[in-house]
Amino acid sequence: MKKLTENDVTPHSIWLKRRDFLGLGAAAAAAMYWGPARAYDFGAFKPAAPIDEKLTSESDITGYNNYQEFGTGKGDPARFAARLKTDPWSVEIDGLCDRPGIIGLEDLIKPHSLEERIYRLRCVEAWSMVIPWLGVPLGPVLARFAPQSGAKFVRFETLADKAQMPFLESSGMGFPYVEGLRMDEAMHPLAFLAVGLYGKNLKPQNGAPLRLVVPWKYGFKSIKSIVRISFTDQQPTSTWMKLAPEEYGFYANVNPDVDHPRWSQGEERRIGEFRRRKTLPFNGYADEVAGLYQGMDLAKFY
Amino acid sequence: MKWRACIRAWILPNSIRPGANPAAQGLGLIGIAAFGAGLGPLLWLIWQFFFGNGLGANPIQYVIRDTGEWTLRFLCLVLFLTPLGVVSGWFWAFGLRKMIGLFALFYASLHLMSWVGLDLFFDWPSIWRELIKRTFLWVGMIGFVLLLPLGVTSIKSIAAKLNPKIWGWLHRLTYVVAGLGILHFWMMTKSDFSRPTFYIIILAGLVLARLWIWRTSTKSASKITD
Repeated sequence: MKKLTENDVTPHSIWLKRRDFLGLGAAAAAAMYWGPARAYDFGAFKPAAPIDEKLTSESDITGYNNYQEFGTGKGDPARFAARLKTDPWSVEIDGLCDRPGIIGLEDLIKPHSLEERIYRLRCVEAWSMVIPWLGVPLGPVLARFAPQSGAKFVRFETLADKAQMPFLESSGMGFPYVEGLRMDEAMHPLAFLAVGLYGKNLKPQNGAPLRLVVPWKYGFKSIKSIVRISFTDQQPTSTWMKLAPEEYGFYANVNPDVDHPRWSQGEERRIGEFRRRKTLPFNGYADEVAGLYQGMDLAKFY
Repeated sequence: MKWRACIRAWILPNSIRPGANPAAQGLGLIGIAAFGAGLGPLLWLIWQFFFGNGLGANPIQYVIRDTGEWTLRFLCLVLFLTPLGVVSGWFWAFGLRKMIGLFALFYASLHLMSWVGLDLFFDWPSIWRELIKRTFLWVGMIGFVLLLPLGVTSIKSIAAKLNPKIWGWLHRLTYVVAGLGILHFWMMTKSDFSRPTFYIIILAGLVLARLWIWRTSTKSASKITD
């Protein structure tokens, strides 16, 4: 049951042609239809409820990143990702759903109203930030593709373009980068697709133009520069699980009681602060998400 | 031409002058330059912190990583000075080993202190817990502890009390310390092993160079006794 006639799903070929048309310089016509490049209405987003934690500075958020395709140094992504071409951008939706297809990013986002979400981001390396994301909740976006009842997991894939990503092959990590969520995790209201931060378009080093944000899990779960979303009945094997299964599990929920083999997860350094602070279960979102894992041994399913 | 001799004496280390003791202390300008260069990484860190980018978003981690890697660099450098001196005949290279070795100890101490004082803020129970729990930490710690007697026995009056043979064997521990340092670096690395691999190759080259020197010197020695 493939309904490619749906307005929100555009076949890749047509979509690319549309881009050619834009490329011919019909800027005015383009602006009427699609607006200037990546023109989300950032003036009209629903602002986040303020929280009593200080936002991490924009320069730290955009200058201190893990994005291995652009190098392993924390400053490398800001240096090497700048030329990542994020427009045009399309996402392939496949697997166990009734409406698979290739969809342009604008069409993916436009039907939803943009929201701001201020989330803590806890990296598995024991540092953290507080980031004002802009985007849309993940659940309603996924629902549009009509996942089938057999779909138990969602698998996400990052762009893997040798020409644009200098360390794609030399890193030896077996890209494309893959991450996954259980279906109920993906449908949770806190799960978020970000297209911006601090009221602006996402920068490539932060995962432009489309990234996942799952605030109760370690940062590496929040996959960047998504090009493919698949519904599956099998638990996806993420890139880090494949590389070091004893260090990185599928769930990767922030958990102060389960150490990384090489360091404690009980504390973290908030970027911009001198002293470490205590790490909270589920990164402080336990009230919202702990129910998802009832009856599970979180030391085993780390 | 007395002035030329004066300048020579001032610029060149004592050890280069004929009849001078190879392990001489006076290194002249080379020594001063090496001392300045050895302080360079620390001064550069301080400069960056106050006048540069403030060492980035996570300055404490930057300091730990930077001082750690400089320890490895100085360890490799000090091990390079021996083959350099043997091959080139520049005796000042031997004289420089003490200073460079002490710089390795200096940066290792900064590395350890920044972990204890900046990262964990003297939280001794945590420090102790981490130290026994994490293999890579005690590997690094053993390396540091082994480096201490080398530092102490570099003091002339103490070195003089030691049998030179024992002193020589003791200071060959530098190879072990470098190996432990690289292992420590390897074990804490998350994904990109190119830098620890680089140091392994360097250290392997230095060990081979030392073995080669040892072989050729024992050969020539046996020729003499023959």
